[in-house]
Amino acid sequence: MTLPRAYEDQLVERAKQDADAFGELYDHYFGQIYRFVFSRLRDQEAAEDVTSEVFFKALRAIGRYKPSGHPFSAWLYQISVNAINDHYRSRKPTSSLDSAIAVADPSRPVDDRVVDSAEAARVWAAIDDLPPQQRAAMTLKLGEDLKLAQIGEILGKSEGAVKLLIHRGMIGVRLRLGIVVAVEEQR
Amino acid sequence: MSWMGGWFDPELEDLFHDEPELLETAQRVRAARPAVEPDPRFQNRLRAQLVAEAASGRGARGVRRWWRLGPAHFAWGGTLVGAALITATVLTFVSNHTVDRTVTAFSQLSAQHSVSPNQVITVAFNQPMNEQAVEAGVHIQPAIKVSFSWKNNDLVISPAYHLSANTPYIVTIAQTAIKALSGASAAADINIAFGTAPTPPPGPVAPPSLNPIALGSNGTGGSLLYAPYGSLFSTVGLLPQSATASPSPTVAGAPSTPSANPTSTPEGGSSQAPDVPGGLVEYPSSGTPSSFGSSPSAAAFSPNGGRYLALAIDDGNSGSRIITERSDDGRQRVTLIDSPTPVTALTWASSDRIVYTDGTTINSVDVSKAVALLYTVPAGSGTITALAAGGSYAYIAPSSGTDGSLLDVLRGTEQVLKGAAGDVSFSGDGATVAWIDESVHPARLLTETVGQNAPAVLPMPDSTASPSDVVLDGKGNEAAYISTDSSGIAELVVAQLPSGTPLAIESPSNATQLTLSAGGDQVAFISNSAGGAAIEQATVPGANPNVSGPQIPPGANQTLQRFVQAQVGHGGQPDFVALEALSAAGVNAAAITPPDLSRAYVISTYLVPQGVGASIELIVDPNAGHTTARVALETVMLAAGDTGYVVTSVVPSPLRDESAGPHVVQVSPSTSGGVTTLKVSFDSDLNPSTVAAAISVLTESGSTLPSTAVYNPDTRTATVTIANAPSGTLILNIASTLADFEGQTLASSFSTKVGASS
Repeated sequence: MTLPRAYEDQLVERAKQDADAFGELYDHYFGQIYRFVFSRLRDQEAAEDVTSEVFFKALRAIGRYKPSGHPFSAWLYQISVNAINDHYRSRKPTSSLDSAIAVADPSRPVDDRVVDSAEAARVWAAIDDLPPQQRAAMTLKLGEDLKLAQIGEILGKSEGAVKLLIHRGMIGVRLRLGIVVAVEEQR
Repeated sequence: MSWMGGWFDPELEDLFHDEPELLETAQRVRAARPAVEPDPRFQNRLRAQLVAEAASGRGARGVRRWWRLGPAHFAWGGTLVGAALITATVLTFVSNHTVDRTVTAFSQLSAQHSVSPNQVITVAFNQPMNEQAVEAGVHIQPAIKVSFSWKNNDLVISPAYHLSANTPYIVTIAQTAIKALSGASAAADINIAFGTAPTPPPGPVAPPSLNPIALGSNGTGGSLLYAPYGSLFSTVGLLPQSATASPSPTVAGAPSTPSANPTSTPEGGSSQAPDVPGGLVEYPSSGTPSSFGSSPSAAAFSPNGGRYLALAIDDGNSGSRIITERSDDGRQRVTLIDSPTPVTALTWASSDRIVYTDGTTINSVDVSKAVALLYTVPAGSGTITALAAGGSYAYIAPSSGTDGSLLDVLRGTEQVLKGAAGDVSFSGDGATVAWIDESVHPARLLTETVGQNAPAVLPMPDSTASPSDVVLDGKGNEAAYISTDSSGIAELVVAQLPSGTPLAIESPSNATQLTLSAGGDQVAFISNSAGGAAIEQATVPGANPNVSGPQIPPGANQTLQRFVQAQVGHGGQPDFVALEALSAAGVNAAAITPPDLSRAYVISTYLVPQGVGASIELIVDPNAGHTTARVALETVMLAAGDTGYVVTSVVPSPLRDESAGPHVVQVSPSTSGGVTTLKVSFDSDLNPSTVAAAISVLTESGSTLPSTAVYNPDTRTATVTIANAPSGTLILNIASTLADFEGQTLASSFSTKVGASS
């Protein structure tokens, strides 16, 4: 649920001086940010560490925050993307494309495989395996339902560039899941 | 247009317009996104750390995760609707400059918005303490009896009974008592502030069985519902032939679906004569079932009480006829309207107005036959399958997949109920909704206060089992559901809300159509076997006895609850839009609502000639600028308007500092067998010897009624019994001689109106 923009701007201004107001911002955005971070890391402990990092960074930097016409959440997501990248830089992801493909059942229709909830982890493992910018764009779009413009603001890209990232990301996912090969074979 | 589980993203639709295979992959990736449930302990802990750091003013300087507060300072968290104040998680006192002489105290309850009333209070010190001295310095407000124990350097404070629900607490340890064995002492008092969740006390540890009895046979389909006076009704009941030897003239038409069962009887034995369709059949708690008319497609009892129903019956022309039928004193049937489409659900919005749906539209009709279209579901957007009592909310089942939505009928806005695919259940007062979240495996049971968009998971006795068929009681205090384990064994569970504590577990034969009575003391269901469908009913152990309270219309209760929520609002600001929408013209509730409210609750409700009255407690939790909770008492009046109940009058008292003595939390009236009882709940452990003499009950005209009062220390409740009380409004008075166990008395005499029915 989005806060009314005027109220949010007012709240952010108050949060620069008022702990209660920062607490209110936290209450409102914690779930979104945690979910996004968890979607990217899929590890509770790591997600908690990175979420903590995001909000402490936000607290330290909120005095310099200036409303840009985008929701406050865009700024938090921006911090999250950086914190996640830092985390990846310091620790290799545990999932791999090989493991994602190895357990897929080739006897079932390929697209149906993805529907199976048991394959959910493999689908998102395929996203984890994408280049960082594609991965972030895909997660923000399909994990968080953000608008292309918001994603562009978060990643510092134009809307067109975000479209390209998602387009390439989608092809990458299909490749990693073997869907493209199968489709070609069916044709 | 591309849909997957109700999801549609026009941007992706546009992006992949020429590549449908990519769009399909996008939809399926989204459908597979992980379900994430953050650990609330982590969420609360992080919040406390952030708020404390922000309060210390060090956020921007990069100091993090550990902080020091000056003596006697509180660091307060933000206020949430219905949530508690928060104080610093860590309080550090420095008595001199050496580390050895620094006393650090830590409480696990700090920064908790919603502490379980069953929680113990732990204060962890960083060094061995003079235990006796520390214990002697502990003071808790409201006053509760506690015992102390120590685990290493941790002081564990255990309430003798339990904490009160929905209450702000302040635990103070006097500075003079904080003495370490090393000789270190604190420079200031320790103040630990937290608040409790509105959780009822736990039920029995080992839930008993239900021991249901068969009331009669049932046809196919239909539904069960309880009358306010305790009888159970089936919309497709079967009657023994003996009961229909002289057919009731009101059995206007037999349902086409019920299948007569030649073997079942109300006693569950064999009978030579087959049962016959009885239409809407009443099964009294004792006595013979009787037909009440033809089978309706929907039925609801009037909030006025008695045998007064709104029914939707087949009009013989592919539509429904909505009628009201009263049979308390001779049968009176009034046709209100013929709907050209079949009516699938209806409810009373007030004592003279009915809201109904055909799955696509929601309409209203009043007893003067005036009709109004309230809402139309956009084509392809799902089907309305349930109306909340009062008609303010409805459930829209999705066309496919999960994520059905809760519709605010008046605003026309929808809120997704996560993972909802099948039907949902509303409580009898329309204030709580429960549903099965089928987006996770195993499915889980969620509940929330309607309109708050804050679902809570109901813990189940078997966490690996799948729930189904959930129903709620009249006030959302209990739920009944079927729990099916991984081997397919199904059990019927009756549990308290919101704790999920089971009151009873039963293993009936293929139970369906679960129904709870308004008070949650009875549960009924259809038991399906090869021999047919039997209607069974059982008393719920541990639930309240079968009593009737004043019939506050559900619509009024809904409006009242929403009004109180709107007064608290968010971030210290009332919800101005909601207050205006819920108030009659000329009532400027926002202007007279005290600022910075943290919580509010309804103490009592009562019927008045113009509608409904209520006593409300408004609370401002302590904050950095005012370290004592402030309270105001408010009287609210509601009356039925064109679109439901609205607030017609709001009179709050000025805010004052909450006194140190006991406070009344709630007054609940009920009447059974001509005896009226008032359950008066307090927040403090009382001195029992002061209770009876302090409580008196008067009629509205001021005549004192003979009454007795018995105090139960386990529940902090005084049960006031009045024999032969007149029906209507009573006045409960509590004198300021009432005292808690520490001798602190009520700050001033307390008086409130309560409704009673005889």
